[in-house]
Amino acid sequence: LTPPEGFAREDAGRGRPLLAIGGASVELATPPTVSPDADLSAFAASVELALVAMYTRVAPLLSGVVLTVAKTFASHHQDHANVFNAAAGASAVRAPNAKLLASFSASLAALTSPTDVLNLAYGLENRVAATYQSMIDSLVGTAELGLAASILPVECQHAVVLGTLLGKSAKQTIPVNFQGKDGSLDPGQFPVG
Amino acid sequence: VGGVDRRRFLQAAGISLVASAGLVACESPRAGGSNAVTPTLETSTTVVSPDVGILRLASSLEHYAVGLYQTAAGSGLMRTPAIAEVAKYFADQHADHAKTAENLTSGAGGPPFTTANPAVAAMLRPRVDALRSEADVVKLVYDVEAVVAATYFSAIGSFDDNKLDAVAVSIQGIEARHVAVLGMILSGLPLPLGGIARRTDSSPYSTAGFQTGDGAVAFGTGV
Repeated sequence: LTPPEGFAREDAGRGRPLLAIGGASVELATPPTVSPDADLSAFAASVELALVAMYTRVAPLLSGVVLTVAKTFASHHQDHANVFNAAAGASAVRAPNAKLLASFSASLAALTSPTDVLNLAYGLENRVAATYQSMIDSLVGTAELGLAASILPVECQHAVVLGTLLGKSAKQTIPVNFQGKDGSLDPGQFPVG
Repeated sequence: VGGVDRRRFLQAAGISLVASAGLVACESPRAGGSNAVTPTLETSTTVVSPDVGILRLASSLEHYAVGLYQTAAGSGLMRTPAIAEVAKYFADQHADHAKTAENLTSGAGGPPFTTANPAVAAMLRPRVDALRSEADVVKLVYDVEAVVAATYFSAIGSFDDNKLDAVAVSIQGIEARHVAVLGMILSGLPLPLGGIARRTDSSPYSTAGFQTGDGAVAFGTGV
């Protein structure tokens, strides 16, 4: 009943690997678990941090309801970054996605009014929602899938709120019957870092 | 990570949500009235995908939403053209979602559920009967949209066919956008519409920053 010498097997009751040597078993150290989604989780965190940076930068241009919305949405994005960083484990990121930041830095510099801010944020929120829709196909883990599915609709709602504040109609803020991937951010084009 | 873990997680969510939604699951297909002849999903010789039950629930909720918007439109209560236009647009989107869920049900080997969810209809009947104003209508459809979005979220990760996760998420995102549009109207943003008084209990976005399964209709309810 003893496995061949040197054959590692799993202890059915505890899930820890054992090495059988003769009649004795030696418990092996459990290798660290690395989520297959760690890189995608880190990418998502970096994108979320880029949006936090954007909202923080534009806040001085805002007041009233729009400022409240911007602060709330920045807080949401920070929360999203935190949970994705937790999922990323050792791959967790502290810095916003540099390429994404660079892609709208010129737009940031040119902002002069709340309407400019709303337009920039509206476009970014829609791109992030599309990015999560795209990620759903690639995620392997249940926890990461659940995270993406819990965050995508909130990004969608951000976009609608911003669009409505811009005066857009429901047909304009929800132009399709199914959330799509158009405008999604490709981790290859916007690498972490 | 296996499908069993996903299912356990979601079943646990469903159990807690049934209490919050106050719904009673209808095990018998006869409970549906017009669906009395709906065949059972499994026989001794035929096994269909367990995804069928979730997809039937999805189409039943979509049909309920379509019917609710149509009832609202016919009530004479929606007097603001912009709100009536929103209702018509959302009803059309729900009809498209229903058709998609029905097609996927057939593809998974089961009979599509093609009418409104009878258990949900029965539970919400008192609120429909009590509609007296445009604000009542918008608040009711806001609540229903939130329930539908939460139900799709509860389904994520529970499908045997993992490709259905992407479909469910793509619909969930649209229902969440519906919640946002209606929440903006109820919040009086950017300006009050029609005669709807501004209220603070119907946020256009998830205040916690994450979609949850709170209020979701439990799998099996009414279908």
